[in-house]
Order: sequence, then structure tokens, then C-alpha cells
Amino acid sequence: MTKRYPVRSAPLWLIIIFMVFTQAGAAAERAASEEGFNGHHFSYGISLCHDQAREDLLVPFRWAGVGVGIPVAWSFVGETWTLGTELRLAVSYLEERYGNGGFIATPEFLFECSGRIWERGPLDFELGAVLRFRINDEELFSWDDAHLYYLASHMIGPEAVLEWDRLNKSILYLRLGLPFIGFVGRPEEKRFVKQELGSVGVYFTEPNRNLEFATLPDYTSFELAIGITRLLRRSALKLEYVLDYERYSEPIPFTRLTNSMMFSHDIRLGRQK
Amino acid sequence: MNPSARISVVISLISILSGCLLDDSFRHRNTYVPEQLEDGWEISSPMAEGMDETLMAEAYELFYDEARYYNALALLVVRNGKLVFETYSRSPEDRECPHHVQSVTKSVSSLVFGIVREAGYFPDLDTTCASILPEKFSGSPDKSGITLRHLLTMRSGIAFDNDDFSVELHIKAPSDPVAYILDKPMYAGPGEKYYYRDCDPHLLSAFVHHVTGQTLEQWAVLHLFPEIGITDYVWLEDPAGSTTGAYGIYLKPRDLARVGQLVLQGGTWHGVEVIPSGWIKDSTAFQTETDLSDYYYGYYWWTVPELGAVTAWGHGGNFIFIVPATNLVIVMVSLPDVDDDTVGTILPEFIPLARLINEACP
Repeated sequence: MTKRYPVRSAPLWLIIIFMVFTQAGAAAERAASEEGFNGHHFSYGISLCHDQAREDLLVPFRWAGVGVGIPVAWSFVGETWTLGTELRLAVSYLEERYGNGGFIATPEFLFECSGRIWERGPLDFELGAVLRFRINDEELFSWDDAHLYYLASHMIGPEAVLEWDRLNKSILYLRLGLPFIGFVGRPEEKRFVKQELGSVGVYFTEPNRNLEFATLPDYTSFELAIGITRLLRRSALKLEYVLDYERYSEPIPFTRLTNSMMFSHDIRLGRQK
Repeated sequence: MNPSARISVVISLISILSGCLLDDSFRHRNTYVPEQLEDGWEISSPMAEGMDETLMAEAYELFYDEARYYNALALLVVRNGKLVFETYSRSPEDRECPHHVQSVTKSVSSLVFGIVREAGYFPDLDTTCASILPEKFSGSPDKSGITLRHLLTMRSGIAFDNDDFSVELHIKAPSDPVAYILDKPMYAGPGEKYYYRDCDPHLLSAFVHHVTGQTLEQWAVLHLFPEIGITDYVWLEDPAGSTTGAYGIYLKPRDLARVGQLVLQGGTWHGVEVIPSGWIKDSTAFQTETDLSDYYYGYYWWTVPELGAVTAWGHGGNFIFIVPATNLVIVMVSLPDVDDDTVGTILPEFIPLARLINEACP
């Protein structure tokens, strides 16, 4: 018997990204016209991380190592609310207890929207939502050179941001995102195809095949960020520590914990406030 | 709070938050005492079958040695036709799970081919493949001299790397895999050189399908598996529907032991000849040298002259190891898709364990 996976293109994935981009832009324009031009921002940066993962579907090892990421973001900051999109591309090299290697590549796209709900002195508290499209592509070649392991998680959830801008030309902030409801893609527990790698497209199509609804307690995730933004004349420098945790328990658990330091340069487009 | 204290607090907070995922071992020590099931296997113990308990205990320790065989899932020992040792290092549930045993498939293909020949097909192994299926070879004059014997001994000369083979067969999915294989260049003339390639047994399987109208799997389902009690299995097929002759069979560990016991018994099971004894003898005898100096090749079976043994050997560390002199069958099942250079177990690495178990048999 042959159970060959039909490899389909994934226009839905691209369409969703495109729609989010266009909707974000339109929302930003509306916000700009209603509240005055407060600021479009473009930022780029680099992140270095310590990455840990367990893919119990294959072996119950902790894979740990370091990785690098490139975040690129656009955001619009209004008087009382903020819209933002961010694309993150990251890859980590991990090793298990015997020193054998593997890679995890993580393309990720986020759409964030938050509004100020509380303000007291130098403190701002914003509450909003984060929509995150993420694929954890695991290439654990030492233990399985024939199959791709992955967790695709396309999730939405609340996000809270606390800012303290009393520091001299610096803003200290703390952000907590809890995307926990959405759709996930995971490999089957038993796969009867010897070799499913071989084309770049498979890293996108396989994780997005047969997406299933997931939420707590099977799926848990949070992203906690602590950062400081140093304001310059027409730009800003940002240093951010991010703790990112993700776990999905079906059919057999995948868990990932990433500690990363991100350094980015934020360019303000248009005139300043 | 002074600046250094603040930094300490931040670092402590980060350390606590970052934590660590728990690590676990791939294998856990489980019992080696087989459980009596209603599956036809008679259960015994090493001592009852005259085996040295101390050496078997050493074999158990060696199998669970953290520095070796660390992708191994199961080890079974059959002595005098009885299951005397059975341990599952990751989970006892692996006993009931068909495992992909990679190139052990080739050895099963060999057994099935013996049945096909007994039915009157392919009587002369020196027949050229081109004479069997001339339409497939019309565009490949350089391959017209390939014989069935060349395919059975990995000497076709077709240059088709194993990794490329599996990728191209399943990703490119050619509608005519035979033509696709025959379109590859030659690394040597037919029969000139041993070169372990998946394309050779796959061609043999495709020829069985074309000539007999039945796939290897269908032959096995009709004439092999039910005879020896195999009911739960998976066997892959290529895009044209031919059984994959080189890999792709999934069998339970105890069923692998049945295959080994069948070969040990010369092809006879409960007094019935399932595989012609002559074919068993020929296919497990020396047919060609290999690229490993201490091991030779029969018809998809490896021979180990040091122990007078014959073995099926699948990537990752999958073995059906048969020692006729001591009436012994050893089965090891391992995670199949590992990198053999780093994780997997190759035959020379398995031999110390097999030798130890064999030494336990007086």
C-alpha cells in the first residue's frame, strides 16, 4: 500500500498573510485620518536566542542550542492605540544528549493591535490582541532523515503591554501575549512514507495540511517580553528580552522554550509627534 | 535598590523564567522475560534452553548500554524454536506495533521471490532482464546485459544512489518507475561490481509484478504471511503499484522472529515447506563479496562467516540474525530513519552483541 501525501500549494496561507497586511494598513490609515498622523514605524533587527525543544513524537530528548533571527516590523502608533505587523524568520541549531544535531526553522508572522486603557503618570497600560501565524519546522536529521516534524500554530489571544516612560528618553516596557486559540498542524503519529522531504515547499505545505482547532489545555503558549526603547531624533533603538513558550500535546507532545535577546532599530516614518 | 542589585534581580528573574525543559532517556530498562500470548510462540527461558544465564545477563547490559545501540527499540532471542528473551527498551507497546525495518525488506523480498520461482516463474537466474521485458529495455542498450542474478546480488551496475532513489520514487513519483530507473547511467558494466543499491531489488519486484500479474506483497499474502502467522503488516508500493522491493515493509518484532525461524528451519514451518529449501540454501550462501571485508552477500541476505551466520540487515539497526549451528535467531529492531554515521547501528557494531548471545549457547 502507498499512502502518498498529495502535495498541494498553499494559497490560503498566502491569502491570509496578504489580507492581514492589507487590513492592517487600511486600519492604520483610518486611524491616521481620525486621530492625526502620529507615526508609522518600520523596524528591523537581529535576535540571538537559546532554544530548547522536545519532540516526543520522535524522541523524548531535550534538544538545546542557539539560534539567530531576523525580525522586520511595521507599526502605526496612534494617540491611544497601536497597530503592528511583524515578520520573524529564525533558525536554531540544536543538539540532544548525545551531541547529535538538528535544526528548527521558524517563520512567523504577527499582527498586533492594542489600545491604552489605563494611564497614570509615566505608566501606560495597553490591552489588545495578538494574531500569530507560526510554523516550527524541525529537521531532526540525526534521528529521522526521512520525515519532517513540525508544529504549525495559527493562534489568536489577548496581549497586554505595560510601559514606563519616565526614564530619560527611554521607555521601559513589559509585554505579555497569550495566543491560545486557533488552528494547529502536526504530523500523524505513524507515517508510512519513507521520504517526504526533498522540496522547499514541503516545509510550508506539510505543516498546513489538515489544520485542526486547538486551544487550552492541549495547546498552551505565551510570550513575555521585557525591553527598553532608547529614543533618538528620528529613530529608536530597542533591546528586548523575550521568553517564548509553546506546547501542544497531540498526538504526542511538542514543547519549545526560547530565550532570546533582540536588538532592533526603529525608524519613524513621517513627522514626529 | 542600587544598580548592581537591580541587575542581580533582573538576571535572577530571567533565570527563573527561562527554566529548562526536562530531558529524558530514549530507553528504559524493561524485563526480558517474554509474555505468553496466543500468537503461536512457545515461551521458554534461556536457562531452560541451555543458555548461559550470566552471558545473557551481559547481553542484556550490553543492549542497554547508554553508549551503544541507543536507537534500539527491541531485542528478541529465539532458541530451539522458543522465544526465550524479549525486551522493549522504549515501550512494551512496541511489541504490538509493526515497525519499518528498512532493508530487512530485501531479505523478505528474497523469500517471496523463492516462492515465485517455485511457481514456475524466472527459472533461470542468468536470464537477461531485457529478454523478460524487452519493451522496457529498448532505450537502454547499456543495460541489456543485466540478469536476474545481477539484480539479486547488487551487481546491475546502475548508478542510482539510495537516498536519491527514495526521494525520487516518492517525491517525483514517476508513473513508470522501471523506465525511470533504467534511464539512469551505469557506474560499471552489468555484473562487474557489487554496489549496494535499492534500485536492484526494486527492479526485481517490478519484474515480478509485470510478469506474474501479482505484486510481491500479493505473493506474500497468499503464500508466506498466513503460513507463518503474520497478520498485521504494512508494505509500501511504488507509484505504479509494484511493491517496494528494497524497503517499506513494517513488521512486528515477533513476526520478524518468525521470518528468522522460517529461514533457520530451511523454509519449513510446522512441517510444511513454505519456501523451497534449495532457495533458502542458495540465497543465504555466499554469492558475492561486498564492500565490507568480513561480510558477504547472498540473494539479499548477508552472511557472517565468523559466526557461520546469516542476517537480514536494515538501516538504523534492524536485524534478523540467524545462527544455524546453535539453533539461534536474534532480532533487533531500531528506530529506522536515523543517520547511521551518528545514531544508527551497522552490522559490525551489532556483531559484539550477537556474538555474546551466540556464546551463551553451548
